[in-house]
Amino acid sequence: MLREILMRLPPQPSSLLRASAVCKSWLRVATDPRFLRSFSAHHRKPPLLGVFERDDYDIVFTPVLDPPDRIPPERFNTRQQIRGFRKADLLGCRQGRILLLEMDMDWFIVWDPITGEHHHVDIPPAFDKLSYLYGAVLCAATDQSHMHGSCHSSPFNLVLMSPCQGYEDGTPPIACVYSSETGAWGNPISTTNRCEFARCNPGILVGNVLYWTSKSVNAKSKYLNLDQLGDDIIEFDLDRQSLAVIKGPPSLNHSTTHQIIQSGDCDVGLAILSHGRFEMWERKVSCHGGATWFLQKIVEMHTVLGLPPQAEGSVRAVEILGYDEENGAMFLFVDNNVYMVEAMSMQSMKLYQCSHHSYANDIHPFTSFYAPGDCSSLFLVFW
Amino acid sequence: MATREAGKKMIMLKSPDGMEFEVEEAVAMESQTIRKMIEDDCADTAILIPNINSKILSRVIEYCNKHVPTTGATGAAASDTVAPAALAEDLKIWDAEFIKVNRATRFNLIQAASYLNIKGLLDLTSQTTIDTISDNSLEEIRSFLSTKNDYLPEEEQTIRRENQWAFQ
Repeated sequence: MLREILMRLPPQPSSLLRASAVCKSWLRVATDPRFLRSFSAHHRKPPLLGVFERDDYDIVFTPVLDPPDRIPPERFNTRQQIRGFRKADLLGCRQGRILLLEMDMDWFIVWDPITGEHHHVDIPPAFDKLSYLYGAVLCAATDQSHMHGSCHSSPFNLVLMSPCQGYEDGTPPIACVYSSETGAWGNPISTTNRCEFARCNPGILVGNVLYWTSKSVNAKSKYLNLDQLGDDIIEFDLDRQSLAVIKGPPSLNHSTTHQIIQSGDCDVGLAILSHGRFEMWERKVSCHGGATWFLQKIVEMHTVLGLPPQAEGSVRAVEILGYDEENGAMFLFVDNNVYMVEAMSMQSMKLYQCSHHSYANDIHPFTSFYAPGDCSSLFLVFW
Repeated sequence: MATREAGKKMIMLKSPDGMEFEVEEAVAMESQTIRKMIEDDCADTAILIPNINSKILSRVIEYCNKHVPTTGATGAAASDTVAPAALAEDLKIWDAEFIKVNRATRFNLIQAASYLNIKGLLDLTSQTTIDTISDNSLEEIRSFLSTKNDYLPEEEQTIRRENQWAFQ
């Protein structure tokens, strides 16, 4: 009976921690993996705890929930949790795991900030001379009843992708998949299609396909490398283990800030922010295999955010910083504030003010359930 | 006014204190446990429901009666006149009244819903319990649920210290 009651506690991180302090039998339930599976299954979507970003040499966590669910940034400190950590690029974050590329060491770190567990994965030989590396970490649990959000002990896959194989662009993309179960990289997977860009936004998972678009340009950047923009999208299908370059909608060609999103049930979509407006596109694949992009709607950004319209002649510095795959929400940097905008409903809320005032980093939303024993020495004390 | 149609299959449910309840099979099958018994042909003329006394069982039947989907001639007539949203709203109001019971009865209902596997009733009873305690302090939760704090003071201190942010 206790399980049935506790399962319905809100999914916020303080719930199970507080419940476990009531008495020992509650702690026993709240730390039982079987209970945690039902808890995840009952709530389905893990809450957004905060966002990670790379700021110079640091990987910084910014909580977005209010107390008592506000996890202090020092709880997810890279240097405390990963011995010997120096500086790393933050490549991605998914299902409670962070993917880092340690800059001087030529290895990836797959890090679970809640448990502090981390794994080093060497860069495979075919990629170690490549300049542009992008990656995505994914839970590899195949159990039908598994709900993502408490994936700590589950195996993971790491997808590595380089948009061009040499130092120059113009060579086709290449990808490779690492499995934590086998502890090995698979064979490199290539395509004959070439891609116009070498720098990408973080890969976004829609269904079981990863998509990378050209890197958005920093809002305050004085230097705009138009060669780096393009309407190509790199696609890696995890089921088929195939790589391809597909075309985005025409306006992606001139877009400096855009975001792959999930549209409808499982279609890939694209939000293009241009001249203060969102263009929301959806890609539909016909039964014959042909694909078409449809413009779903155009929405004025200031109305979405509840801001006054942009003054005549001025340019508002705006950038899309990231996307929460679980909740379908984009993160936006406007006037030094970070907003969250739900891509389907276009409902928005202000999350926080940026500590650095002139720029914003890519942000990686961190969604997870939070259970006692994941982190603390409770086990050691009582078990 | 819905009247019981002739030919509708009835099931007898028996509580351990000897009371018998005659219910429509469709109503009894709101319980997945009973549904399985019926489908597996394990149900004779009467099904004994262990551990659930007649007072609780009658409340459970009352819940199932209200929540059984209306199908067939009378059901069609009902849904022709009442919109689904209004029906859902009506059920919500009914549920809110139904769950106004004392703590002991609610716990018995949770146990019964869990044994009989009636998801809606389990959701309602458990969620109501969570809603009543969620804004309370640990001490209030313990006293409300008559749960004894079996931690040593230093153990509780450790838990709070480890995750201080969650106890603010």
